[in-house]
Amino acid sequence: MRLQILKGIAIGAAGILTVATTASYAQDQNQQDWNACAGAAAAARDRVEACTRILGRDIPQMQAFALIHRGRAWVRKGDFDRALADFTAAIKEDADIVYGYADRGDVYRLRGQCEEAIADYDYALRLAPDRADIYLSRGICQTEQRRSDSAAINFDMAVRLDPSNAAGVAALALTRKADIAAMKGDFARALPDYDRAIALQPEDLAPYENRAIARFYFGDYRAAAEDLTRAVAGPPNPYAALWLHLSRARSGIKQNSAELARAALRLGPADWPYPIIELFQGGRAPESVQAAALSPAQQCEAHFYVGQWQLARGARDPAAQAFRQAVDACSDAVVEYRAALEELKRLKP
Amino acid sequence: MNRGLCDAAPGAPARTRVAAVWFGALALLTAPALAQDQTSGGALQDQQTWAVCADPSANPDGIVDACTRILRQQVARVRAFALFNRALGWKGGGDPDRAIADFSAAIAADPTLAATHLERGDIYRDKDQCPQATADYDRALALFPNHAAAFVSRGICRTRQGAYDSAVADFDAAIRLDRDNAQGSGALAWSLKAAVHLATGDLEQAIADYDAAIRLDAQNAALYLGRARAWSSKGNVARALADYEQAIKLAPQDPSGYAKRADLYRTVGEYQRAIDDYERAIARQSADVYTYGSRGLVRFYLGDFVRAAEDLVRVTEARPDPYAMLMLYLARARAGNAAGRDELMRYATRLTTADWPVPIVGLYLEQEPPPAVERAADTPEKRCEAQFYLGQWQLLRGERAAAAKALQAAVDTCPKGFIAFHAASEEIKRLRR
Repeated sequence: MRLQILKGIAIGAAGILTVATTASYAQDQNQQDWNACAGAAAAARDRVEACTRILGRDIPQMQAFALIHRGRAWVRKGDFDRALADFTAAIKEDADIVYGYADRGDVYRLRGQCEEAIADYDYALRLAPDRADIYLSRGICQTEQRRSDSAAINFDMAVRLDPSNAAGVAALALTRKADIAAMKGDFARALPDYDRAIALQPEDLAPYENRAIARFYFGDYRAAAEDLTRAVAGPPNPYAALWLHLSRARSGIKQNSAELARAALRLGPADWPYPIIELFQGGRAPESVQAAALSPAQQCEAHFYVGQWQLARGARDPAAQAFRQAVDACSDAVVEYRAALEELKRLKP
Repeated sequence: MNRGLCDAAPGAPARTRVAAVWFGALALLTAPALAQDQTSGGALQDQQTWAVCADPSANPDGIVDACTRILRQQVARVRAFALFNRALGWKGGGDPDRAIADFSAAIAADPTLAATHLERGDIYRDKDQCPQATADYDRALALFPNHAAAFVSRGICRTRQGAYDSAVADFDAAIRLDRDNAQGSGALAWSLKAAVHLATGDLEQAIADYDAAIRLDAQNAALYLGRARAWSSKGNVARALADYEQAIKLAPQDPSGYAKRADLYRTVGEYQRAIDDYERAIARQSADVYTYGSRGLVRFYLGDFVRAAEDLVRVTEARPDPYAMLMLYLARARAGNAAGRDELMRYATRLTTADWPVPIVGLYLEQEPPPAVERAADTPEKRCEAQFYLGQWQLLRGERAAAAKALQAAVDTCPKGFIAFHAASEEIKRLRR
């Protein structure tokens, strides 16, 4: 499992804010030109010049905006090729259109082409250096490229530009920044950022789940359980339920077996991670869980959660062996990799 | 659960800006210049299309449709709108060629606007390119069959081309479409119809048409000027003067009322009144060189040759008008200015025709003998004019008796309104003194 990003990035809010402040002069100017072009100008020359400005500026802008809106609709329909074509056409009409670059960057990012995405974000930020959401997006791509130091700087910048989360950017950026520290095992540094993110946007459940894992490895199982209790109150979330189960086990709180059952509600017996849930419910043997894991990512998770299951039974050696297998099998971008390393540290005699 | 790290969806677009700028701009598409087209109903529809295109919560298929419609149709129409208005700017700034280029580009962007065809047609018409103008008017009328102004414009071109019957049909259509002159086309159409009847000699009908025009637009000085001309042609000087009086009252700063009334005074022999009116016209910045030229004629009649030449030279400097050249030559010669002959030769090089009265120029430059002039005068009007110019020629040669005879022949045979009649009559009076 990866650290949770629940809602995506609310670029829209940031976009409107930015445009509203920088475009008000332009709007007045535009309206004056339209009136002058339509005949309000006293002198014929002024009329000609106003119309010329409209032809050179407003009409390309109008085309660019329609292309951006249509491109976004293509994105929603999952047609990334058409979206890219429209955003590129928008840039051709209006070379200064920030949205053209920012949105095209997003499509590249969605397609996993972070290099192209970052080139577009770079250009967009040159045009609009106060766009918090674009720093956030660039940081996400840099995280993907494992450039975590640069990413953290971009997340900081995003927070500074949207300090009260008015654009919905700061909370996400803080969460992302905390995730980077957490994935490095620096939980002391991650936790304050998660706290700030949650304070700015308490209704977003994703940071609770991410903070819970940091709290867990910081040794605060009870606090982890509190966060996860919130997380499982949302839509069925098997991983949150699993971690809640682990946190309760560690802190000696009574288990609520209904929670695991509820988390598995939408999963069929063949769906991952159903076998893991069955393991903790006592309905499946560890060997059978490992046999059910097909993809490398599932095999990684199987090793890790089997390790947890062994640990809960007090079987330290089989647990350590499973965690070592997890470290070998897991990508270093997933939670289970970091968690397995932490468990191995604790198991050292 | 493996939600990727790259799962952020592009957010909402700058809806506020779109609303503020484009909705305001699109509302202008209903501006008066275009209001007669069917576009006015389209503005609201355009706004609704934008509202869908720019609504991130709308159905994506609907957004794609709306944005595509904007890109295919609305952008073209807005471009046409800006080009149309810029063309009007070029036109207002006195650059008809650039105006035509922009109107043409506007038509290429959106061929459905009748107003664009109408405006381009008017520029072609002003450039004396009536076939192109008529083609535009035809298209404007095909797009908007009830366009009174297009009928008026086409009628003007047809009048110029001598197609009087179809011109009158166009004016009648405009009158039918704008009976109460709400669009300003009804009265104009009546007056243009009157001008056709004036040109074809149907003075009764012309006066009746002007009456109808004046009933629709009683404060329009030009209509009284037109009717005055009709009354004057009909020989009713009193009614003509009454109409000039009214026109001058309605537009006291307009030189044309005075200039036209002066012409009437001149043709009925009220020379001092004519000169007074020409001077009032000149004081009101008359741009017409013929205001000076006409005053020059009256001064010539009255024997004020030096000042007549000062007036007439303004015409000859502006136009290759052979009558003005002849009268200027005579005024110079009669004032004893021998340079008039070289001046006439210089002006003669600018003549664009050899038709009457150019043979008289030949006589004055001693390139043609008098019999050649008499031969060239093949109508009664030309013969009467020939007698006047021959009489002047003889006078300059000191042949007073022959001159008096020729001038008397001009008085006897020229219509009363002719310059030759007035000039000869006054000359005979002087010869008798």
